Amino acid sequence: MGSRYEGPLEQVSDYLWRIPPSYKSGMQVEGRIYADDRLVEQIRADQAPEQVANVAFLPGIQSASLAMPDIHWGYGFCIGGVAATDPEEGGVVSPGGVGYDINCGVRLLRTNLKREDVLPKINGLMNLLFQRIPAGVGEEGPYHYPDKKIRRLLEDGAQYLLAEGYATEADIEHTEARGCLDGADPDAVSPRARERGQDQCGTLGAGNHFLEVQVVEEVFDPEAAQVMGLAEDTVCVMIHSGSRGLGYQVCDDAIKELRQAPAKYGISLPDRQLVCAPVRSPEGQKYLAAMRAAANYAWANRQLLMWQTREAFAEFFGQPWESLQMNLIYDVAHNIAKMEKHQVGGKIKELCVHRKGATRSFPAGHPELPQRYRQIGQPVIIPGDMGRSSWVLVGQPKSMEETFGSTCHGAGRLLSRTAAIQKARGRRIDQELAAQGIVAKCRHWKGLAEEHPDAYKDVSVVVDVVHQAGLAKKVARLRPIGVVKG
Amino acid sequence: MYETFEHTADLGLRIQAESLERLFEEAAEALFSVLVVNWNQTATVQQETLRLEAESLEDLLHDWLSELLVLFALRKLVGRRFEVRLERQTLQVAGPPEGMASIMGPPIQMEQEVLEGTIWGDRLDPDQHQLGPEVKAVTYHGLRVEKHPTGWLAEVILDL
Repeated sequence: MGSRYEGPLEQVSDYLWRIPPSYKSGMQVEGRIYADDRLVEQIRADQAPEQVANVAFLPGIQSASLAMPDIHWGYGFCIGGVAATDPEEGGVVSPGGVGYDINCGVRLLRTNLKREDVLPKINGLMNLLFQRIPAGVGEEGPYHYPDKKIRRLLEDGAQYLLAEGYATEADIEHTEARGCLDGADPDAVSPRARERGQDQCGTLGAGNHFLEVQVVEEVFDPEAAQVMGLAEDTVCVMIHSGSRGLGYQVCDDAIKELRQAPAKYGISLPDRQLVCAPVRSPEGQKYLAAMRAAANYAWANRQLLMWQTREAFAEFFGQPWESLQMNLIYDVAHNIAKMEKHQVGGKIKELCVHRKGATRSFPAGHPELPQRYRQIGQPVIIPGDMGRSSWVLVGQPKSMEETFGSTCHGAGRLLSRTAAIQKARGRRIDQELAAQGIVAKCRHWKGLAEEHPDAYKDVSVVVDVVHQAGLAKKVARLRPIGVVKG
Repeated sequence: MYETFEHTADLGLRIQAESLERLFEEAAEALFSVLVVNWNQTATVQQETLRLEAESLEDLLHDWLSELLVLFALRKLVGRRFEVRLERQTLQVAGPPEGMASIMGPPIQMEQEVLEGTIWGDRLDPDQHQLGPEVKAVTYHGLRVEKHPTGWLAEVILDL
């Protein structure tokens, strides 16, 4: 574990802390961390606040280098960070501000099944899902996208699957950015990255990625919950995955190509992993075109994972998924850079918003929201650890004022993977979870050990902070009853 | 000699060796020991060679490990034995066109690090190999390659 952060952290309000720009010469703006008294002590325990200060060096950064309450120590950027840059002011784009798993994200689909319909059969259902959902390191799926097809997939994202019969118009409508970012260029993605993507679309991957069958445990905002089709005891499925090997390769290629860019553009950085190029430079544009293609791949990946889930449910319950009303509530990205319009100092600017371990959280009335959610705000899906809860929130107006329309993305790691395994030594995590009524399926004991609940902050504490700070509002808490891990 | 160290979301590798070549070879062993728990029971029946160029030893180590990661992900190759040759080359970068030298300056010399590596191993076999965690990438965060009185030390953080 890294050393404790000893730099300044000034309390601004009950839920906001500040790193003054005077802390390090080179900081263009201050750092701001959303946290309460409990979380701030955990946050100080490593170098994550230092990383918040380092991100403030980025040319063209607006307002502040922001961190959400699930902040933890990453490489270059902290996880849980938001940084918006203005291309008009030489603003940069940084692949490290998106991460290797481009458009890692979460989607939540509901069903018309109730807890009592599923609980007696949960073992059989989880066995079938474990059989059908490709999961684990390097696992390949039933779908194959040779180069000609993958180019179309990279350009059109989840929308490409409409024609293939693996998506409906309603699925697309309820996916952030309609499952496709404009300006994606398959030629900006290296042949090697495209090859890595050929057989992995529709696979979960490993690490913290998962598929969970969940039950709504408590509703906090009945009106918003009703719009989403959620009520107490509603059975849902949450899917957490990203762009797989294709995305890792796009990020690695970009960082390598940008090694010389800071020197070329006269940018001085405190950490090499922050390497970046002006948005308005050939290097910056190329990365954005490749990153968008990888983001589109990730949306297609989660769409195919959902499709396989629907097929498995249909088989298991002996009725079509449509009659089980397995509708997509929403799909959000939490590792991405997007061009978005935001108000800064009274002016509307088009900014490059990096969200690395942060979720978009647009409030009611935002023009980018689907009609269904215009009145309540964008659904924000927050996965927790596998033993505790996950959350559904909606975006609030204060996120537009303070965080470029962003909120937290999950629980945030507390223990390193090795520490988590050490803590799990001699324990049967699957049996511990079973005792709590959670059926966990995993290829290997280590996968569960690394991800067991003690390794994470309590997601409910993280959610409390963004709720109290007015960035997003609680709608419902969900509890897992079945888990598939890589 | 290598060991892992902790980094909240990720995993660090610390490698020590008497020579720079051995440092790179041991770094490759360290990477595969993370990827495949029982990697050292792999046969050496397949062979791959790599030639890499980079501006610094740190970049070269990054590229070497990244290439091995791609061989694993794409070609399903589990490396068991590695041989590395390193060389520092001086490059003469072509000068400006004739008659322009007075404005644009003389030709410049650049140094680069060159690696030639051979990897022996076998194709990943799900029945035989026990997979470790998924390694997304080799990061540049905290990347170091340093000479010490008794040898060389490298640190690299993997994104898991």
